Amino acid sequence: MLKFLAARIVYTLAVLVAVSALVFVVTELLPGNVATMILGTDATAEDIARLTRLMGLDQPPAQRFIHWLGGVIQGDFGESLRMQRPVGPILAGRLANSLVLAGIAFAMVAVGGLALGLVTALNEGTRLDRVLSTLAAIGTSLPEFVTGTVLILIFAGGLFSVLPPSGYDGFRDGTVDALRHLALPACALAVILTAYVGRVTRTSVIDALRSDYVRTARLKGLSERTVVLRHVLPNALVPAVTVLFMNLGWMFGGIVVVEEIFVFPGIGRLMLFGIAERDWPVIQACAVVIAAVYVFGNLLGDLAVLAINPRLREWTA
Amino acid sequence: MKALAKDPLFVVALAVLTLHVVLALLATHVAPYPFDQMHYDAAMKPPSTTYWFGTDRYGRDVFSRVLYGGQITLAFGFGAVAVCFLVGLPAGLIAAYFGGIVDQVIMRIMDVLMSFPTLLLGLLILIIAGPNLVNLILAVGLVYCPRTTRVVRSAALAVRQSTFIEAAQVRGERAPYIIVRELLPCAWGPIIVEFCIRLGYAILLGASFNYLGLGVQPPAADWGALVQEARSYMVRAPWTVIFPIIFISTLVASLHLLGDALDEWLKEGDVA
Repeated sequence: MLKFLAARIVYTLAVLVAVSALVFVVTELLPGNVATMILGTDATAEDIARLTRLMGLDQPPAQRFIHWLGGVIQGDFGESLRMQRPVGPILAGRLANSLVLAGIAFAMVAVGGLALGLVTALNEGTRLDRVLSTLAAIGTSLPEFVTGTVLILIFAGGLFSVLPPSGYDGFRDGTVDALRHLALPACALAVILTAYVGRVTRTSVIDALRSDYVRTARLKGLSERTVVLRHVLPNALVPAVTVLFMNLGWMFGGIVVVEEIFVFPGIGRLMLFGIAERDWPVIQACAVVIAAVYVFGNLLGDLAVLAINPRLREWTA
Repeated sequence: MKALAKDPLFVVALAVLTLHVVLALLATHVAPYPFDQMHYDAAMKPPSTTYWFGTDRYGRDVFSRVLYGGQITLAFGFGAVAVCFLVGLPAGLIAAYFGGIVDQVIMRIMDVLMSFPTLLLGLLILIIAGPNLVNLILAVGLVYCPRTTRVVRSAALAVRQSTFIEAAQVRGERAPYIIVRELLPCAWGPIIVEFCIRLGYAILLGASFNYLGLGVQPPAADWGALVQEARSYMVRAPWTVIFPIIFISTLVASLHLLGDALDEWLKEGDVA
């Protein structure tokens, strides 16, 4: 068990270094000389050479990568080219906003997806199941920009004007105000995964319902409620929770689109800003942090599955 | 095939998909206007008999733009899936057939690619390569090829241990022959399902990149870019976003439902 944990953590760290290297290489390949970008096209050749030396851009890439990685570990992401400020503090605030958004969406997916799966499975073959299952299949086909746009059209200006389409500014104006601003983005983020988790849960509950141990439990004369709660759920939850946590990191990718729709001040929009402005320290920082959240999300998923499924623990120890 | 033809979801999904493909193929003939023709006297008009889906801010016909958008959407969808299979089909089959170190190397490379969030990896590729249709196809294809490789590999692994593979080996057939003539034909089922599902996801991801402005550039627009264009005035002119949304949702949903129905049908076949 401990050995597995240690191996899994070493693997996670290795992936993180690999991902950082890839991000660094990618941003190295960005068109345009950085010094020219800062000074403008009419700078003299000497000025450009001086700034290049000053920023350490004349060093070999490998050396710069190690220097950069060393900074990243200490939370120093360098300085933004456009904003002329350190990236670290800006990033921290934006990341906090994104984590709040992702956290709320994740809770929605967990509750909604498991409930959807359970309801459809327990009513398998009925009209309710067919309607909900078809809706879930369609739900997995809706990209975030579609759900987000539809939500705005319905709740934020089109049919009704009950929720704000943009303008999240943290919890400064109270929790209620913050939650009102978070509601639509979180829903947009949650729809596709809720549908997906619902489908996986449905399959695993149905499999459990058909198993021998459930038949035994029923033949013992246990009430249907006890059978579902004590025998079906614990077994059926394993695949559902696995999928749920495996997609924790995936959700953090979708956050880029959702933040763009709802003008949400998170890490995704910061990255889009970096791309639009060719601000490579910002792009590097955002990419590494998003990748890190993704990798740690997957690690968290593995641990959660380990915690609820004793069988796995024995195999891997 | 009989059971499939009786499944109403399958029939509807197939009909919707066919309709989308036909509309996209015939877009130049069906569309009443060129996709970039502006009618300044008719800006932001609601749907009417002249402009079936209304017009956008520049008075461009939304119906025509949606039809041409379908061409772009299907182009990057099929293009990206082609990239997925060009990489994933040989990689998956080779990994499954040879196993051991070959399998390890191929699958670890795929693991590294999969350790990025899909959208982030695509974004990084598009940032270096630059935003256009070809790069969009390559980016989406590369992002999804590890998933295709996994599906192909596990489908091939399921038949790998069969006696007829061993018989072919004993017969002295060479590896390429066995892979193409013995392994592949038996793994078709899951591969076709993967094709439908992957096409759906490729269209979702590609349209998301276009929505972010990192794919096809204006005045050309797929359905994602159409929704993006109309963002600032969509509440006043909802028809500018509703029609692209209906088109992309029905297309992707039909692909997913098709994949599901095929998958279920194949599984039932196994039992019988």
